[in-house]
Amino acid sequence: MLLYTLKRLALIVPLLWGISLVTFTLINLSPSDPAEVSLRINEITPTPEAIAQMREELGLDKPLVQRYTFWLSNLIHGDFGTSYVTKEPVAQEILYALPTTLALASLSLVLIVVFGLSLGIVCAIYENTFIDKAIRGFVFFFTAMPNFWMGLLLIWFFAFHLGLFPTSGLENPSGIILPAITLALSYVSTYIRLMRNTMIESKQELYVLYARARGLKERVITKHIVKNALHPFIVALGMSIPKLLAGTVIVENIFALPGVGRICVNAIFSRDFPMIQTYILFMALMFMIFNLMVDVITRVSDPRLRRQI
Amino acid sequence: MNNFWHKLRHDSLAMLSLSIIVGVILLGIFAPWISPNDPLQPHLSEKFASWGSDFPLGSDHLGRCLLSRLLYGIRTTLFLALMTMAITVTLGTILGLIAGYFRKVEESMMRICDVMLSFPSELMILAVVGMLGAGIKHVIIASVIAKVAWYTRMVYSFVLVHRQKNYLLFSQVAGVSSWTILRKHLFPFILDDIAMLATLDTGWVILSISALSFLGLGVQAPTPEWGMMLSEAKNVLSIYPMQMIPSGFAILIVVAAFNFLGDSIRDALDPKHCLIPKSVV
Repeated sequence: MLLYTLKRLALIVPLLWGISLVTFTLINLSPSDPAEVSLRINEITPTPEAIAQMREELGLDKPLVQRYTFWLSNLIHGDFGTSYVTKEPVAQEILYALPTTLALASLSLVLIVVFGLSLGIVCAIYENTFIDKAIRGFVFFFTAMPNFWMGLLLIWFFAFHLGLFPTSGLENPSGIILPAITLALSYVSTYIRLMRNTMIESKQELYVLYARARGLKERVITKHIVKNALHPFIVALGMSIPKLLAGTVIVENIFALPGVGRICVNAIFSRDFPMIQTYILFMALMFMIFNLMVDVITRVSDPRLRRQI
Repeated sequence: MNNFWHKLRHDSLAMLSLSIIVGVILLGIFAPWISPNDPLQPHLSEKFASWGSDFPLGSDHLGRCLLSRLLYGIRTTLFLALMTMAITVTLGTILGLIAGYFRKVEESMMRICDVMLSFPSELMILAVVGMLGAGIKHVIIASVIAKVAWYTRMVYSFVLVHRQKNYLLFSQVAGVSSWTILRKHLFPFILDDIAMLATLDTGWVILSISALSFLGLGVQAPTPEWGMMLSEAKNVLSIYPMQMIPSGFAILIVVAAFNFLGDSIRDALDPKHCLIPKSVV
């Protein structure tokens, strides 16, 4: 187990290197010149002299390989560059906004797990009854629902109409509830469907027949089925955490939450390249950490997998 | 194949979805003839008008006819999504066939796919749009980049199943050119699976294009687009909540129709033939 975790941890290094290479290439493929962009942002007329000076200041006059190694060594020392707009270190701004995004993502993850599991189990137990069909109808409705519309409807109903929650911002901690529900609603349907289908498949298995032949109570049998169906659920959950984190971009913008998604969209508007680059690096790093965590958890939860390291 | 059409034709939900999709596409094509007003013409004296004979669905913050904007929005939202899907599927099919059939490039192409797939598509789109800048052209490029590796991988896995089959080996031995084998033997086999995947993904592309336009990163004003219409409605949410109903509903209906149709196509395809397990899509 420890060996496996260490192996996976060691794999993160080359992957991160690959991602740093990809983001660096992307930024250099960009059609606009960062020096010119930086000048425009600070409202300096981009004369050829000013551009040349800025290029030197940003180190853009050096060859590509040299720039990459310079950037990479800075990264390793924890220096992610400075924002073109605020002239502050970008890592600091992102770290400052990260707790909001993480809180939002984890709260909706909790909602997804609770509702995905419970409704999925209910659907599978009452297969093809009215309850099952009603829940599946909702599920289909929510997969097609654009989450930005859902967000607006929730704001209108719960914030304006009922006045239960703040419409936007995070002055009040309850401001995170509506965004989390919005985010969770667009993903929960996948899990209800997954849980339902795996449980219905497991119902056909021999161990269920055996348990029933032994005269075990239905409740106990259901418990066995649920335990066996959990595994694909956890795997799928791990795969969707990245999506959840990327999905915060839209939700944070609807509800004006001061998270990294908002920073990212603002950075795209102002063409703040160091900020965009760092956002992508941070996100990629999170994906890897979450994927690693899920892989370790699945191995802990399923002894059959442990043997194949 | 006959069996497939038979099954699909008797699936009322699939037929309903199909007719909704075809209907919406026709509405989009004939938008200039059926829309009651010019979608770009502001009527500043009639801002936020409610339903009436002049504006069947009311008017927006500049007094533009909502129904006309909705109809013209089909041209941006749906047609751009279909175009994105067409580019992605074509590129993915070509690359997948090449990777599966020509063993020299197989390994390198699949490793590139692995790297691209390790980035979740949502982040990939943000990264590409971030680097290229806002604009619908860049959103389309980003969506293609985000999805093409997945299609390449899918087509590649179809080809893998077939490339050891005797009929293919026989054609090779008989000296049939690679181009003919790809076109006549492999391509027809993967066609319906690809059609199913593409149908299911079109809904996703519509959502992603309109979400980015909602954020202001995609289609730029004043072009009518459903996501952008919602973002305009957002600003007046407290006073005119009805503004967000038409465009939101339009997205919901079209995406749901594509999802239903894709699901029905998957069920109608011969289960032995369909290589993709349910949980993947």
